[in-house]
Amino acid sequence: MNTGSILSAENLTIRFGGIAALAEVSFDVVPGQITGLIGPNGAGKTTCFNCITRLYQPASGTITFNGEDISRVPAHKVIERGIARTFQNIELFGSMSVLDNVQVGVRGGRGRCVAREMLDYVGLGDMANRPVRSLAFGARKNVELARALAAKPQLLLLDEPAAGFGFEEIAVLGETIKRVRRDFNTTILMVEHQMQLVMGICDRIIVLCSGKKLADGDPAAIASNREVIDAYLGGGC
Amino acid sequence: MNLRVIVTALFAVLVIGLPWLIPGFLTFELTYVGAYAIAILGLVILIGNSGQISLGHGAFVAVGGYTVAVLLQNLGLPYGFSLPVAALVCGLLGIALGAVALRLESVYLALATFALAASVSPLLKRFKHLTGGVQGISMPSAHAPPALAHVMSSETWFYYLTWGIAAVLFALAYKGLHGRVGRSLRAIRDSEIAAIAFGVNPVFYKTLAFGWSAAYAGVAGALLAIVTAYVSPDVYGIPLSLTLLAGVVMGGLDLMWGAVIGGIAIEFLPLWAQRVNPALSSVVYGVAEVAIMMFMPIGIAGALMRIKAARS
Repeated sequence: MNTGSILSAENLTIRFGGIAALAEVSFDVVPGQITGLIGPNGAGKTTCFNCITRLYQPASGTITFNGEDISRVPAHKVIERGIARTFQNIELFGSMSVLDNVQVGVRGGRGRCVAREMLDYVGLGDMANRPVRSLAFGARKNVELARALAAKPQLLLLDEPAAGFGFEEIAVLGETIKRVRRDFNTTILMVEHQMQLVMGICDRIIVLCSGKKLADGDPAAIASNREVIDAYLGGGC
Repeated sequence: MNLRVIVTALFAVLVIGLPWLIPGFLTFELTYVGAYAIAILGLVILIGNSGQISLGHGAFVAVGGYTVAVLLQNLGLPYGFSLPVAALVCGLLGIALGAVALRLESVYLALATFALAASVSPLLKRFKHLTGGVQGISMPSAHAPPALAHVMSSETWFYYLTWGIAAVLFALAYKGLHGRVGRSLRAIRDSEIAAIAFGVNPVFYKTLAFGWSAAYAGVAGALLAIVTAYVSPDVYGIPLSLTLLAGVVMGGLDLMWGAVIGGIAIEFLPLWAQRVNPALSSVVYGVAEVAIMMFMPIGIAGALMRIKAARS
């Protein structure tokens, strides 16, 4: 384990049926950085997130967060350790108001105040009392972000934040993510397919392919990595 | 917000004043409405908020009733004591059922709880020495406490007792469902993985919902037993469980005051159907239920809320 890392995965392995969704995957996340987790479909990116948030129990390997092995922590206690996430397919509480959705994310007291602050932060202050399902797609993604920020996480996991976004929205999103890192002093690990965004804002990039780690480095190194290019152009890995 | 306070206050005045304006038998029926409303409120918590179904809550009504009857008959314990005991016993049984329910979903949970509803009457008949078998247990009919006996009839006393307890249980449910507990229950129902990711323990809250709703059903059962001064196995068969379910669906699954409307519906609809056509009363009742669901698919309370929303 790298002592300078906030999150460290070591030899993560998980199987579904006969397929190894993750095979001996190790990586470190450096505090304060935006780390991108990329790879073709089925590479194991979301599986990786689900292991970190304890929804999945890896067959072997350890996950260390802030020096603590969290491989046995119950899934609902991960948030207390300081890890919050968003979901690839929006997972909001559909019957509830926007404000209530965000309030679920708040740890400790002053729930409504904190929730309102977070909604103002993502520019949805006016929507607080609307039913969340009445919001447009992009706004719903921002509610997810506000909910995650309400937990004041040290590590924020974003699962395909740009999915479904147009070109201009992606540019705005990039700025938002950088602003979040600065304002909340948080570390970000992001699964994303949109290369412009990944190359634009990530300090480091980890590449997964078919459950294995293919490469790990800064954006320039990844962009010129032969194996990564092959994997993305269908050469396999 | 203000409107809610005014409506609640008006309803309270109405509930307090009614027994002095209506005949005794109607007071008796409204006492039933109060008890049913408590049981249905339990289902609002369980089905409406936590999203778990129960076709077997009649079983908890039975246990509540029999707890009161058995404690009175065997130990001479008064209602003031046995009523909370009934709530506790049912709450614990509910938690036990909730633990089983964690492993079951939707139609499987429906079937398992249905089996519970079906097993109640045979079980009550089987343990004769405790339950009185097929005959059940008749209790000496209770009266208003001496201090109140010259002011009100025993019907009126039971009416106030039931609605007083209902008021407390509704207030408790309001507090719970509008705070962290309610938010957590609905979060699990809407998206369990997101709820878990944000610190909601689904095992705890799902089990809590079962225990809480079962305790309410138990209180309702205890009150019904006290009012009728009689418990027997056939009262608590499958139809009771299904009637409670019909009540919560007709009232409105996720609205608390829908429970009162549901209570009114399951008490008075059958009586009304009887009057429309004595020979076909259950057909009339059934058709009325279908009509309500057709025209008010989110329940009577839900439909009223929608009308109100459309006006403002």
